[in-house]
Amino acid sequence: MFLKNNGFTDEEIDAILNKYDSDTIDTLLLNQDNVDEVITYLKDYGIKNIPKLMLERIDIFYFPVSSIKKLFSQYEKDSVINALDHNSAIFDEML
Amino acid sequence: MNIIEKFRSLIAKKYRQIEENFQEACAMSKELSLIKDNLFKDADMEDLTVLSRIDDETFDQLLKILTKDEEDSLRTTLKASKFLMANNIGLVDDQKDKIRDFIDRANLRKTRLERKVESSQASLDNLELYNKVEQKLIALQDSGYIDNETLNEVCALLKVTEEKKETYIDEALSFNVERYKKQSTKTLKEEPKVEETPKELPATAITKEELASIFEKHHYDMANLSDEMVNLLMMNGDLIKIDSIFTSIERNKLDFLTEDKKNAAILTKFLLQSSSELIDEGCKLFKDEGVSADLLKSYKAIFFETSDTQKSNISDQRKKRNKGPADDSTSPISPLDRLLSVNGRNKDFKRNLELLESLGRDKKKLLETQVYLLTSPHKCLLRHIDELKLYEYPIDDKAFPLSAISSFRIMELTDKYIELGEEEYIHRYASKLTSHIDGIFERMYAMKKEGIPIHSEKNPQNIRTIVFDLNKPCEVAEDRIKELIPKDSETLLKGNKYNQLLEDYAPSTISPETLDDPVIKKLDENYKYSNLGYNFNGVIISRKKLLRNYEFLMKTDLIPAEEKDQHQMLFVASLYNSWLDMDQIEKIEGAISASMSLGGNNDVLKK
Repeated sequence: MFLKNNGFTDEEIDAILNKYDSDTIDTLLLNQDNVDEVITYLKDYGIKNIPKLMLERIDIFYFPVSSIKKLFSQYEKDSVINALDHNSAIFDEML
Repeated sequence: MNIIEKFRSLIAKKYRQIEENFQEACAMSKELSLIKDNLFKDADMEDLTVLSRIDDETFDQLLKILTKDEEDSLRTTLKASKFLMANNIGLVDDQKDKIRDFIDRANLRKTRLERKVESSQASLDNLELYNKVEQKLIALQDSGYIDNETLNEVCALLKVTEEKKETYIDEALSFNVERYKKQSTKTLKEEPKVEETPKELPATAITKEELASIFEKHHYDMANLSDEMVNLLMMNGDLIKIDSIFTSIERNKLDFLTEDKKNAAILTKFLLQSSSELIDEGCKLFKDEGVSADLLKSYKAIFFETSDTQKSNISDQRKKRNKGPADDSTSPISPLDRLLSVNGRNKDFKRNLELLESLGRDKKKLLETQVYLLTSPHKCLLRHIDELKLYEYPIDDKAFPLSAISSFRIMELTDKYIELGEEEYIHRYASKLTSHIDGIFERMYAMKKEGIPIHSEKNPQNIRTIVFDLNKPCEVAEDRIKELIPKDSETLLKGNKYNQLLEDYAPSTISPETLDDPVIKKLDENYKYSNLGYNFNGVIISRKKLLRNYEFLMKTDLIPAEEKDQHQMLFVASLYNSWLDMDQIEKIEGAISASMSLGGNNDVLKK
C-alpha cells in the first residue's frame, strides 16, 4: 500500500485497514496523490503521529492541502499541533 | 525405408561426401600451391633453369608428388640436372627432355588439381541448400507428403539422371497414396477433435498511433503512461470518448490530472471510466456554489458513475472482518487494476449532498468541509444517520459534529459509553465516536473502578487527555486494568450461537411491536432511567442495545420458533458485549425474571 512509502509501519497500516471498510480504503486509493500531499504537509507542519491521526480522523486526509493550510492559518500553530496530536476530535470545531 | 528416409539418407551421404571432398581439396590446395609457386611462377615455361632456383627440400617434395616411387632413375637424373644447372654446367639432350617431361607432368597435375578444388568449392557453396532440403524432409517425416517442388529439389541436389528421377516420382506417388489411406483410417477411429481456433492477438479498439495523436493534440506526453496503461487504453478505450474527456479536463481546468505525471494512473482511469458529461456536471456544481476548484482534486470519485452491483450491501461489521479488496498485501492484482476497480461515487455524492442538506446544513459549507462524507456510499450514510437517530443524537442541531456520521461503530461505542455511565458525555461530544481507539474503554473502566476522576477539569471535551493517548501510560497499570475488567459475561456467552448471531448481524431496528411487548413494558416501568439506559439494581445496561438485540433474536428466521425462549433471548440481548461479573449478571437475571412474571409470556414477537 502507498502508505508504506509514507513511512507507515505494517502494524499501523493493518490498524487502518481493520478500522475502515473497503469503500473508505477505495476512496483513499483514488485520492492517494492528495493523501501523499497532506501527509507531507502535516509532517512539515509538526504533527508528530500521522498514522494515529489517520486512524482517528481519516477525513482530514481527503482535504486538499490548500484547504488545510487555510484552516490552520486561523489558529496558533502550537495549539493546532497540540490539538491534533492529543485530541483529533477538535478538528470538527476548526471546520 | 520409405522415400523420405531414402532421400534423407542419400542427402546425408552426399553431405558427408562434400565434407570429405572439402578435406581433400584442402590437401590438394597445398600441393597446387607448391607446384604453382615453384614451377610456374615465371611466365616463360620453356625456361628449364627453373629447377636450379628451387631449394632442395621443396624439390624433394615436388619429386614425390610428380614422380612415382619406382621412377628412381628419373628422380636421380632430375636431381643431377638441377645440380648441373645450379653450377652453370651444360645439360645433355636426354637430361633436357626429362626436365621438359617433369614440367609437363606438373602442368597436367596443376590443371587437374585446380579443377578438383573448384568443384569442391562449388559443392561447399551448396551446403546451405542441403540443409534446407534436409529440414524440409524432417518436417515431412511423420505426416507429410512429397510434392513436386521437394522432389525436384532433392533430384537436383543429388544430381540424379532423368531415368532415376522417373523412378523417384513413382516411389513418391505410391508413398503419398499409402500415407493418405493410413491417415484417413486413423482419423475415423479417433474421437473427433475440436478444431482449435488459432490464437490471435486480441484486436485492439484503437491503435497506438491513433492514441498518440490524441495525446499529442492535448499536449500530454504519452510516455508518462506505462505500457500497461497504454495497452488498456488501446484495448478498452474509445477514441472519440478519450478526446472528449481530455477536452473536458482542459475546459474545467482539472490540471492536477495532467500536470503531474505521478497521476498517470488516475488519468488512465478518467479516460477509461469517466465521461465529459460527468466531469462538466460535477465541475459546474462547484462553480455554481462558488467553491474553489482546488477542492475538485479531493472529489475524484464523483467523476465516476456509481455501480449498484459492484459492492454488496453487507453490514460494516462484516465488511471490516472480510476486508476484501482493501487488503492489498495479499491481493494478486496490479495497483492499476486495483485503482480501476474502485467504484465511482457520482450518484452517492448527489444523494449524500441532498441528505446532509436536509439536516439543515449549508450546501457550500458541506462541499468545502465534508469531502469524506459526501464521497461515501449513500447506503452507509443512511445507515449511520439512522443509527445516530436511534441513539437519539441531536443530528438536526447545526452544532452536531458531522464527523460522527462517519463512525463505523456508532451503536457499539454508544452502548459502551452508556454502560460506563458516560451517556451525556458522548451525546455532547459525538465526534469521539469517530476518533475512538480500541483500548480506551478499558482504561476508562479501570480508572472509574479505582476512583480516579476521568473528566478533564481544564477541557471538558477530554476525558483526561492521558486516557485518550494510548502512547502514554495510564494512571492504572496495564496488568491492573486486565484484573479489573470482569470476564464472567464473556465467559458465559462464549460459543453461544445467539451471541454469535448478534455479532454477525449487528441489528439496528427497534419496532413499536417490541416496545409494546409486555415484558419490555415492565422492564421500562421498573428499570428504565432514560431512553438510553436501564438500571438493573445498580447495573447499567444500554436500553437500545437490549431492545434491538431482543427484537432481532425473537424475529429472525435463523433461530427455529421452538427455540425462541423469551427469557434466554432477553438475557443474551442484555449481556451482549458488556463487562459484567457474576453478581451483576444475577441482578440482570433477577430483573428479567421479575418482569416476565409480572408481564407474562408474549408470543407476539415469536415467528
